[in-house]
Amino acid sequence: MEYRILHWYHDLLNLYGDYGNPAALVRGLARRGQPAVIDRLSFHDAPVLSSYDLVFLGSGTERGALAVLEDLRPQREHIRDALAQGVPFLATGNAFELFGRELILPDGSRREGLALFDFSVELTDRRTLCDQICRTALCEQPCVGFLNRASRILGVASPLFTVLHGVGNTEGEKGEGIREGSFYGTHLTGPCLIKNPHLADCFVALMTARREQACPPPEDALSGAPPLPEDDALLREYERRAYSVTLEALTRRFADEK
Amino acid sequence: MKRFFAILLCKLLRRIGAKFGRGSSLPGQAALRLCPDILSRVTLPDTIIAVTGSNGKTSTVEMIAQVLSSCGKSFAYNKEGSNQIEGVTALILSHCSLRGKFKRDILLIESDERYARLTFRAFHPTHFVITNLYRDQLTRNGHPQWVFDAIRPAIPPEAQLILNADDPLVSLFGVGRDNTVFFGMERQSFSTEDCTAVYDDGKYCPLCGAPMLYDWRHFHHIGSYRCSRCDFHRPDPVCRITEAALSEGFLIIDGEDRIGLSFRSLYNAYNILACYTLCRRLGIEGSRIAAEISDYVLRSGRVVTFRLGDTEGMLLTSKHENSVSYDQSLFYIASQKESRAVVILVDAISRKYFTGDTSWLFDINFGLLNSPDTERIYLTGRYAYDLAVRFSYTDIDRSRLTVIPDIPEALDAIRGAGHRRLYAVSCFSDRDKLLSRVETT
Ligand SMILES: [Zn+2]
Repeated sequence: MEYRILHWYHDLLNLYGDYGNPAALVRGLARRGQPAVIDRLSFHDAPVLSSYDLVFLGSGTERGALAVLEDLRPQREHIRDALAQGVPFLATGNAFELFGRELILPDGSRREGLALFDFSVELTDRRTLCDQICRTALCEQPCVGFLNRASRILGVASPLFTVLHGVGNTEGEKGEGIREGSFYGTHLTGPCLIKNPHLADCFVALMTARREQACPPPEDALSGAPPLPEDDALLREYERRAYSVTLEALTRRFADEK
Repeated sequence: MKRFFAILLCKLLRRIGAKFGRGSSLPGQAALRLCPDILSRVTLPDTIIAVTGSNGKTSTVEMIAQVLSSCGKSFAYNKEGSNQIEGVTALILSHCSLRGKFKRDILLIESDERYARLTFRAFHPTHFVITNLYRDQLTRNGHPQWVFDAIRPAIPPEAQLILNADDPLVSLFGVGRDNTVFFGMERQSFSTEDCTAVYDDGKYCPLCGAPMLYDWRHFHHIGSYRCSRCDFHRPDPVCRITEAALSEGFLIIDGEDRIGLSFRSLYNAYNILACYTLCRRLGIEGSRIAAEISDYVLRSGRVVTFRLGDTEGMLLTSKHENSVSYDQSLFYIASQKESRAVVILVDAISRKYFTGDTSWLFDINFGLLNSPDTERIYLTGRYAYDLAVRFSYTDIDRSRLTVIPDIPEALDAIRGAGHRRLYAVSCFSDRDKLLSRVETT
């Protein structure tokens, strides 16, 4: 059966070309001979989360994310169940902030989060804007990207990234994002899986490993796979070079700043 | 006494600066340092016009200036486009007497949208024009809602607001407010019912969050909308483009004033409309405004024609990190029914600050170029590979792409291919890397 990726709140949490992430996963699966589809769902859709191979949420405005929070709230138990079953969740930008204990707004008022993880978020009236180079235990090469948030994230016990250059969950902290069980969150904006092809590979591997564990692949696993374009090798080369160009530009930049 | 010296210093620095071709904000900065409240210590004229928004500020202000000067009005404006408080201070002080009196009848200001609040703390505009709010330089400005929140405290209660009715977030400034007028464009043959862009910033009501319904759109979230739940809807414009004949090259405003377009884009049409609406508020007749801006060629020219070998080229200056501006350029190219090559150049994302972020490329609808008329697409500049990856997520066949990061090398390839027509899309920050290597015509 084809792989199914949920792009949740695709029409509101879409500030930085976030749709590129599920698209990169589909491409990565195709390269492993696996067909995949993306379901694009939004408010009031109440998806059956456990039926997906991966759930993706992107970045929104501060007001947009709070609106999503209220729509997610009644679905909290389904989210918890899906996570307990090991369904990978990837939340980029402020989507991941909604999964913590509480959000404190700039005016001091408090909103309860989904309380699936034990961290809290302070929304700020200033934005933190920063190019990033960071590492994660998921892959060997460093990851690059841009962080664009109006918040501080406090009390994350297990961050997804260690920041080499840039900022962490709060100022002065080296950890960025969160990794808890099958939940992955980061403030690297936009199509970070396209910018970091090696990171996309990790998430593709997560999905395929999970399926193979449940049911070892039959001999003809490749049947039904979408054909790869003839020049896929060239395309991979472009993806690698785009990454290297940014890594070099950022490395040079951070060296100059010192 | 402090005021006297601040004005004197500003005038002197400006004169020296002009000699050495230096920036126009430095004199203002120096004056503000000497006398931080200088702007509240000068006597300003009765008419102060502010123009802000994501796109089109400079063009709109330039056209207003054109109308004002041809009507013999006495005014001053920030011609060099220094639009933060330092630049505005320099503009004001250099037109003040040493005793602090502004010597013209009208002050016309292009204002940066994020810092308008600082500029307008000391004095209040009487007319406040807001052109649009788009995703623009998100790595520096934040998103449109964020910019909305930054502009709101800059609007003085007594000012007349002149707003784009077709942009929901802009028209929101006028909700529940008197002394507000709107401008807009009626439905045109090119208007669509669905959003044709990669993303839709008009999907949800900016007031209550419920889905919005559109009767039609001109592009992106610009069109005629109403909320499915609350009363929020496109307000009635006082000035409207009743006909936008882009391919014939003219606009009709309010059914009677015909304005020729030197550049046939919707962008240009909205800037003209904003200028027209403002000038009408100043009591200038519609026919007079139309005559003055008809076929007007912008000094801040977005469009430059050039030759490259045997190829006729046209540069459409767009803004990096601004998908609406790119989409407008691509839409223009797509609407030209002739074969052409296209070159897209992304080398330095900004002149003013550094970022390596290329996520904005995914907000641009490059698929618009997917037509048999597009012979070849050249991708060049430091971020050529990012462009190539972005294009791999469109339907455009990869065999039609040429990826050459080195700009001179890419231009050589284009010259060698002997295309008849070439469209170049790039940003103010990068365009000289192309223009310095071609023959402008
Ligand atoms: Zn509403």
